[in-house]
Amino acid sequence: MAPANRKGSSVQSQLRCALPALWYSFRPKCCGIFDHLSPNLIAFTEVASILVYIESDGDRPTPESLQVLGEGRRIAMKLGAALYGSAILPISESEGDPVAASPLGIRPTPTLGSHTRTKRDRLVRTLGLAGADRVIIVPVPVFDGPAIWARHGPALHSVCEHVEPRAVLMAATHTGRDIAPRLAARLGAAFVAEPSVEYGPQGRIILAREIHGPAIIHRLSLEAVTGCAVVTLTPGSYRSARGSDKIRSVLFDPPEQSNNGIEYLDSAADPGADLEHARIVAVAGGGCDQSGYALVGKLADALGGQLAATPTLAARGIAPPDRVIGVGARQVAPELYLVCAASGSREHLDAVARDATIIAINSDCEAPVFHEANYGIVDTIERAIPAFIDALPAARTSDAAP
Amino acid sequence: MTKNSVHVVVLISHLEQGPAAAAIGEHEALGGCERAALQLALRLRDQLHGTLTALALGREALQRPILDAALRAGCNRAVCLDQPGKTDLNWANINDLSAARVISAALSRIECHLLLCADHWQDELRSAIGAAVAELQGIPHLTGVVDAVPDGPHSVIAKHRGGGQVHRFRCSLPVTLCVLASEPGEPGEPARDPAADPTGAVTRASRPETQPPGLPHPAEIERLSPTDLGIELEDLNHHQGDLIRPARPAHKAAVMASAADLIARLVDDHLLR
Repeated sequence: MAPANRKGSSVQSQLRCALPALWYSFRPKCCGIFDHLSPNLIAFTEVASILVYIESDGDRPTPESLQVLGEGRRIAMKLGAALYGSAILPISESEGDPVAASPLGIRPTPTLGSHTRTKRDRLVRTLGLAGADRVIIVPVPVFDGPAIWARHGPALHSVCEHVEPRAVLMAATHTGRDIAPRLAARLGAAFVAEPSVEYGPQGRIILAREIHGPAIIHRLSLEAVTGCAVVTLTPGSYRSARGSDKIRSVLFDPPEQSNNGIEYLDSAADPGADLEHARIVAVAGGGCDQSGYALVGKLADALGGQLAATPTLAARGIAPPDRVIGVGARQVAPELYLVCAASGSREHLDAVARDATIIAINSDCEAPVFHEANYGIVDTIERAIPAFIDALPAARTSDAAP
Repeated sequence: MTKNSVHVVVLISHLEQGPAAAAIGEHEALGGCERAALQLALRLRDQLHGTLTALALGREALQRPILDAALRAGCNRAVCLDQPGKTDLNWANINDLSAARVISAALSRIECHLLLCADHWQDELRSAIGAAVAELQGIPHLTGVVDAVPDGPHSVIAKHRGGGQVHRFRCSLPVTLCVLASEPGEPGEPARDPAADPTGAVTRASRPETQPPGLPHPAEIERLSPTDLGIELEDLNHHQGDLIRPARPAHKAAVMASAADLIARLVDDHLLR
């Protein structure tokens, strides 16, 4: 990972391991020199750092990224490290002036137009208030479509080469899931997908990840990782932090954009996207037939929730693919999850957030789903669902309710 | 690349024995994403008039049934990546980047213009291998793919799901597509696409023990070892960290006597208002 000009790397590494807290206490004194200097200088002045990749909509960081930044703040405090937020800022040709020379004359650096400067300043301030010590802005030409590796990856990798972070954090959104594993491969780094972060004594950070439910947990100490770790964090599982708007930002030279072989065409609404934000989901399992699926649909309607299906039911052609909840299909995080005539396989339930309250309706009292559910009714769905609907109170809940 | 020379490779693997397999319990040989990748690969191979190779990394004894089934499902070649004579080698312990190195070296040997693989793997839940292989191959990748169709002989149009939308990308070959467990088809349509799996061969590939008797023996499974590919086993890194089995109290749902009791409890818990 280390480029050829990184002469200070070995000293850095030793300091990083031995004296992170001491370094951190002196760090603020040298903050000011970074502003608008070449990122090549960053590496010689930093010791330990955590870098958070920020997804943003213009000048507004996404809530998921702010949550990750909050957890990054806590990790950085524990390690005595500096916390970087790195955001890609799209600029249009009319906004940037690509002929201005960079301070070291390495490559032309875009000079931002006033409108983009305003956006950058707002973004930097927001990230500072959310806990970042320093913000790296990478201006890139405006592009259509979602952020994926082909768009943001090379720029983020270039930032990582200069900052040499101990860990790179990003939200496990579709963007993060596209970027993180490839970034890890390019950096030769460890990749950890959606762990929980545990804080041990003496600055120990443990990344713990359930594998197929809580039966197996993979625990990895960050200090045991050789080099860098690239980590995705589950959206909604972490709190944002508070910081200061008195921070510095660095305008980073973007790497040359090359034709990467992937061209955005267009977008359409995902018909199953409402499942991902639903407060209540009723899911039909493999024990349903067409009429059973319709019955579960009535239950979802009565509760103001969303109808879904297990992979088994979809494989039989009864439910459409965009309603399938399962590992590799769609993950959900509802408050209430009603499982109707499903066995409760790991392929299905591993895609449901751990804090969801699960209700099982199944005629087989020995079905594995009863070992995962909070509440259960042992009965056929043909009897249980109409009884449930009839017994609902007049003031029923709905997703639209305040 | 001529019209008739598109080489499609689909990456499939039977879950290696280990803690993850034990944790899942009863499971099919192929995960949901792998089934979707195989189904999509068969269709794209036909539409591109190319060839399709099924590639599996892992102990041959474990991978042979799914590779046999993949051949019967219509794959032209099947290649197993394993080290002969190393019966103690558990590929489940090899980390993602090392596994990607072996796969990438194999792809360079067997030729590949379009690699399809699972977006999520049965033993790790999250995507990693496909993107890592693409990085080592120096080709673009796209995760979260729900469908793809040819766009002439040199590119495919892939649908990528994320952020509440389905985005379409034109991907020039060579490319790696990491496929979600969503069977190809238009949103709102039934999941099963009879044209894509008319004989149920993909389903049978997921359950190789259910192959009907009397089928002709498929082509031979080819073998490649890391050593053949110039990779020493000592250079393959293992997963870092520890796998632990936390003690879990036996859990059982609170079974309610009636729907009214359940609703009362949910109202008490503020889950229903």
